[in-house]
Amino acid sequence: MDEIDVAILERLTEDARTSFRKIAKEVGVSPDTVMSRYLAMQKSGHILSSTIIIEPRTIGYQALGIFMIHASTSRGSNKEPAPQDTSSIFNALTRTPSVFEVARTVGDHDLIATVGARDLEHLIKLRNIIAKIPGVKDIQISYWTEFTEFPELCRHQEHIIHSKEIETNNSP
Amino acid sequence: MICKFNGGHLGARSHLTMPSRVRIDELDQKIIRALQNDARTSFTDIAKSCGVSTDTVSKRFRRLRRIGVIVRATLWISNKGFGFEHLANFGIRVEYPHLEEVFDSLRRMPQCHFCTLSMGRYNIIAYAATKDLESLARLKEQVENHPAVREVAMNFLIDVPPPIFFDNIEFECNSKKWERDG
Repeated sequence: MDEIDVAILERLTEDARTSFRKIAKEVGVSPDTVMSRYLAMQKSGHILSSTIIIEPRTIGYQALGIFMIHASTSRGSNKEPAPQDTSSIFNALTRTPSVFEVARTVGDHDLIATVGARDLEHLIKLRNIIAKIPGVKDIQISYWTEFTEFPELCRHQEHIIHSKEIETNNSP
Repeated sequence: MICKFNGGHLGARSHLTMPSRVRIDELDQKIIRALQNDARTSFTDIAKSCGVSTDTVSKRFRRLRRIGVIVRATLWISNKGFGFEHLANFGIRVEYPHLEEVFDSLRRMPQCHFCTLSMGRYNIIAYAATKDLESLARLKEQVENHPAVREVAMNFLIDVPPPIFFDNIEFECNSKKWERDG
């Protein structure tokens, strides 16, 4: 990664539809260079894909929330659930409408599902649907309405792209 | 330097009026889904697969941006690719008189990528990404040692970043059907 890569990333995170020709002009390289750098960053795993951020409220989602899920174990309550138990819950969650993101976790909970809720009634309905998935033992729910963007994963971009800078700033 | 994507929760945007719901038809949805999977898809390709003209797609796209459904087209960047291998979710319960203070200090931490006030079991939900486990452990310690923090739940994400399921997004115009079926 060099300054050209960072410059390309900056422009594309601002608007992923910017043409390579325009970026090339701004950065001062050829369009072919921009293209090959972009493809190289995709191949190396720096760029996963391009996407659009939508405002959930305009399509009727009034709140986002996370469901922190405990999976039950067949071997007593103090043990970790077996991987096959959490993966069947994971698969069921990925097929549940309004569940946007599903993460398998290690720690105080076993799975975290990020959901969109139209209203309180919808949130309760989602809770009921998820609670019925076989293997789900306990759910802790938190939700919020002060959000700006979806997917919020894109929150990391600027920080990550400039991570070197931040490291230098933080070092004593 | 701290994420501009992070600033909206209590800051500049909260005084704005709630975005109003808008009418989105099937073509709009198809355009949104195509661009969610690849924001660089050409309008010509989308037009072909939807059986409309490129001009129509372009017009629809501009409208969706204008009315605020599409905020922006952006890159999905891999934490892991940049060395941020560790991503943890925090659920934090803070005594109310100190809630804003704890929230503000969390938001200012550069490794804290997402932070919101929430209702429910925890009144702060945060995500932090780091290059090593030690700085995550330090972060947790720091939060836990705050006298107003009553409870901290921490979960390491196994897959970084976790998968997103765009197809599960339901547009309001279709939701009535789902409610009947459900």
